[in-house]
Amino acid sequence: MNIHARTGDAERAQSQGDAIYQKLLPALKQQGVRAGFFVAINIDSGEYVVAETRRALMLAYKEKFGRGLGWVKQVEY
Amino acid sequence: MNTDKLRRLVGWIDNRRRPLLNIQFRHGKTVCALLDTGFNGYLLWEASETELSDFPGELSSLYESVEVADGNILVNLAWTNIQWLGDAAPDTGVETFVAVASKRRRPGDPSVLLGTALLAGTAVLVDFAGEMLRIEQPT
Repeated sequence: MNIHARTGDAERAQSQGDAIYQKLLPALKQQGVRAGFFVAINIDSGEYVVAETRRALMLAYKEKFGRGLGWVKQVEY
Repeated sequence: MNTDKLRRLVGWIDNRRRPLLNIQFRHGKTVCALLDTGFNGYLLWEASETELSDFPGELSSLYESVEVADGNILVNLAWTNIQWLGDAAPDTGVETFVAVASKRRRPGDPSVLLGTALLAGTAVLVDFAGEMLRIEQPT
């Protein structure tokens, strides 16, 4: 992937991912997801995975979404 | 007598007073890294487009905005293996941020930043008088 495609992907992931994350936040709190955990949101479907570390997150995300574009946030309330 | 064995990495201070060390990645790639105590992650790989294809690890399809000393940058999450503190082989798995754009780099800057997360459990000596950097971990 060239640098322009990467930058475009990253910016799309950020703008759409942040919007999805804000809507998701109350649900994460309700589910008892602790602050400090990481959430990875699949940009195309809006689905997500949660993990305690980035490494665990990468593995869980890949297993569920393959190479689908995703956005990561560390959960803060 | 203290018989504890020390696991140690030795680097140097360059003429711009920066603490640097060589990090060996899997497949024999060795890269000069800057110890950046303003970065609390593990490794940040800031490469040009050409150098990106040389990244010795696995790039995910995940992106994140992370805080570094001079602001927030967009990164690709990745994983790599390095030789760390006397390991016999580059087998220490390390979470790595790969910068999406390399605008922050100036000519001569190292392409890798080593952050404080990798220093957990170690003692770091930045010896400007002796122009030496030492990272040690008692075993």
